[in-house]
Amino acid sequence: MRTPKRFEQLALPHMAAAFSLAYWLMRDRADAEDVVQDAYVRALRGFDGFRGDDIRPWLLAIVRNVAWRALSVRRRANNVIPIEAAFAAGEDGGMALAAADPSAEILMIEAGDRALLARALAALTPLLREALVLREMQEMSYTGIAIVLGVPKGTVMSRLSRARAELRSRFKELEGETDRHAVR
Amino acid sequence: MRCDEAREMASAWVDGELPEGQARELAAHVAGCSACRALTADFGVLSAELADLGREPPPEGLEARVRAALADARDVAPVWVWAPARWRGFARNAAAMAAVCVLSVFGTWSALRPIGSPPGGNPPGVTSGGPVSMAPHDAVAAHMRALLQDSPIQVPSSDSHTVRPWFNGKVEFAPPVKDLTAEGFQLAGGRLDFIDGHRVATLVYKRRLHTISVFVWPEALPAETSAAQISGLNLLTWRKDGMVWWAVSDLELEELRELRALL
Repeated sequence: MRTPKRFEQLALPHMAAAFSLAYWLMRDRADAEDVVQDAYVRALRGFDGFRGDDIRPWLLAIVRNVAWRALSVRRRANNVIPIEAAFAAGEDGGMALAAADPSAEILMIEAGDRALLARALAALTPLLREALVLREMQEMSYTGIAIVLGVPKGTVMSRLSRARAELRSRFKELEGETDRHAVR
Repeated sequence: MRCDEAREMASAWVDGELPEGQARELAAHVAGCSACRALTADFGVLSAELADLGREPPPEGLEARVRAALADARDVAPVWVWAPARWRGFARNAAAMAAVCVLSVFGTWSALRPIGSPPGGNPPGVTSGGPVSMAPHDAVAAHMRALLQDSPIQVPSSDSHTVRPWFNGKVEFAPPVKDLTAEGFQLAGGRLDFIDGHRVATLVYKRRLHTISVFVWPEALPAETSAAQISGLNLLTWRKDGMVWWAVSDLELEELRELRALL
């Protein structure tokens, strides 16, 4: 039965996943909200085209396409927030202080690592970033990711491989930088 | 197994998506190669840490907002519905072929007939032999008149679901309204005009600093795509979905063709 009611029943439970994907692509909560709203309206209108039992990959594919379109508009509008700026606060705030309490220090290092990782992730191209987000944050199978991205499974595999290799080297680079700062 | 092969497979291995045979080979290689061992270990740690970064929780009001948007979308009965997925590829091919046909017809036509009409003469594109259409002059006049006013728009909105219903009861057809912001043509709104004896729907698009008026009305007679220049403005006309379309702007003709392809 293809009714709006049915659509809501199937699609609304995935809103948290949709928002998270939109956020990691847009890197901005307000933009992610707009993307999700737009994507849901489009999904409702295209609901007749949905085949299969699992709405999640289909829905996330629409979220992803809307986000990409929004990203290209943003790029064209020359309104890009530098990736470094997005996480600059976390870096300095966490690392400059030395804590007396060892447990607090461990927490701070952990928080610093998380910020570094988030920065490294943000620095990936959206094409690589989205593959990683779908895999790690959404815990999707390669088959599911292939549906969302509209590419063959082999491409998912190689994109994830490139994404991880790049993430690893960026993370190490960032780690090296902060270590140098800490020594000074 | 060589190291470069191992490096390519390490990621799928961490995800448990590597076929069993390859997984065994990789395991054997990693056992004897410290560089690849470090790589797979790092991939595993990064994977766990990324998962730990976690999902970004949605803001509180989002669900209510989405529900409201869905309710709005339901109230506006769609004039057209998205083509089901299995038709989309076919439609794209058909559209591409149609575009090639139109282009080739247009190419032949424009090669035989240079754009730019002699002063006082009929602009090209007006059906020769038949009764002289006032449409090109009306379209240019309507566009110019609109630009002379403060706002060339009666219903200002970039939302096609605001603009389309606005035409209900004002014209006796449902004009197809698309927001093409992502493609570089921002929908600015709509208005009504009187062209060649018809009450027509006018869609206003913006591209950079240029304004484009797109006039739409239904007509049964076939006519070819054509282009013309009047008073320094470019005109492009075509038919699609049983409608006659006229686009008028100071934009280059090429860009108007781009808009035509999108509408």
